[in-house]
Amino acid sequence: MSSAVPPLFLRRLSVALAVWTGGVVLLHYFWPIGPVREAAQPVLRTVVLLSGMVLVLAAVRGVMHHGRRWRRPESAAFLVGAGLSLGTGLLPGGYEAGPGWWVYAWLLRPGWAALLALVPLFLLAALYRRLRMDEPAAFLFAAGLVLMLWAQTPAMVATWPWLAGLRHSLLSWLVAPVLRGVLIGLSLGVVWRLLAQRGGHSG
Amino acid sequence: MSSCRYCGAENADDATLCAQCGRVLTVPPPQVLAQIQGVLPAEPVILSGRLPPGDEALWQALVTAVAASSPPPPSSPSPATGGPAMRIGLGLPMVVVILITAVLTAAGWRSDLSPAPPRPGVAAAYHLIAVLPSTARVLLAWDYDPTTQGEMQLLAQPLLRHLLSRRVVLVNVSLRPLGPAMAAAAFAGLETAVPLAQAPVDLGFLPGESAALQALALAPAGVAPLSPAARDRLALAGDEPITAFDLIIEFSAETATSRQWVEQIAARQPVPLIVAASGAVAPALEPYAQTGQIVALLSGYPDALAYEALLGIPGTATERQMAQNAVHLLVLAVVIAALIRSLRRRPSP
Repeated sequence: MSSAVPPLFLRRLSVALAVWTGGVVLLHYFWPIGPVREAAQPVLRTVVLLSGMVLVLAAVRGVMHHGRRWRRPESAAFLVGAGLSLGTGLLPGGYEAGPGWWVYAWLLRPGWAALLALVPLFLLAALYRRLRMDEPAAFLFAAGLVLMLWAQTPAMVATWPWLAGLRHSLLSWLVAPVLRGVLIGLSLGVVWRLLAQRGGHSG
Repeated sequence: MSSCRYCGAENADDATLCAQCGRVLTVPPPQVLAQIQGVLPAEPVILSGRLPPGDEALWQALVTAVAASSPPPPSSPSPATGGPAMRIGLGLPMVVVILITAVLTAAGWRSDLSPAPPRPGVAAAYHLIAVLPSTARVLLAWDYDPTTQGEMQLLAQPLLRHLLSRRVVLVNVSLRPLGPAMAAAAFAGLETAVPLAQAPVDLGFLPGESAALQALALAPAGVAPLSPAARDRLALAGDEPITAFDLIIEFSAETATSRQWVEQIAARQPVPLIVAASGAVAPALEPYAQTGQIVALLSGYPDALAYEALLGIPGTATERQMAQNAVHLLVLAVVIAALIRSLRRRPSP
């Protein structure tokens, strides 16, 4: 037997724990009454703690991984960034005062915001380079873009207030039914594929 | 020893690739929900170690596996191209309409024009907050990152101003690690400092997503350690459920977290849920707003502006109207340029 396989009793213990936890949480979901609630409360609190531990372990694993290859620039940058974040976060005030706030306000926030701010530029560049009005889909795309842009421009909406109503109508009468259809279709598709898979394996 | 099911060669127990033919020895059984393309991420077979260089059989096995898992190419090119007629018939009028509208707007717009009527979601959120008594507890969920802070803070601040004017007890919580910093930044960005007596109680970051929300629903005061002062201000018993709150407001830039709030809290508890979402997320949440699980859904900059107009207190959103106009017109100019470029382009083959 390979040494990577845990002992039998550990495997049985983990299965028993998973069944107990899942059963209690599922029961509580449908019947949030006295005894079930009493049982679910410590289970859920433990899950929150465990999730925190998982995050810590993931961070430790990341540091160990990049620590082994610290000569590479990207790994060195990761280690410096992680050390800086951890150090300033542990100082009194955390990220809400002092050096932690400075790191957050002048490094983290502008860096992250810059990432998202690039997205419209990429989209506009793609639109400029790839838009071809000889396809119906391209026309619908461009028309939808212009309509939503108009409906969110303050000067346009102030001049023509019906544009605000148009935005609401587009969301309520067009976008919501389509998304609801997608959600329902997705659920039915998952169920169908599951049943088909099960049938295929048993047969 | 285990034998390869392809070539029959004997391999060590812990081997993952056949030493003879290089194929994968142990293929895990298909798991629930695996292999549904586009719905869930693929579950790759993790191989220990790397492929040794120069072993052609292993590389061939890898190439075969990748080719087998790739979707087949489309059998025919995309149909339905309208050609020059569509370009001239639809594209040209579109450019003309956009240009005329832009010119008319620029000519007719004045800064003293009254704002547009608010959407029903904005009015509903305003009235829900306006009727809160001063003893009410309001849970604020900060589920966005610095990436979307520019948009989300604009939306959060009018709501915070309104809540502070009602003198209710505010409680911060977040499913995102940087959520507490987002909350602090939103409060710090208000024009007037928050009085100490109204400082929010911080439950901090809750890891565990859906399970964390269930724990929060069971006993909000029990999920995070609180200082005695915060405990006094919150005035909640350790095992009191989330129904002790009068209102929940989630600031969200992610569909998944809002869906968790709806599934774990709003669908099962009688506490009304307001979601203030980024413009990109709000359309995906509209079905939940239509079913009433989200009582009021606010979306992006336009709703921030509308809320400030309802409050009657001009804030950051009002101050940035000119900047918003300028950026939107710039984007419109690029769209017009793309349309004109498209009209001059040869039809696609």
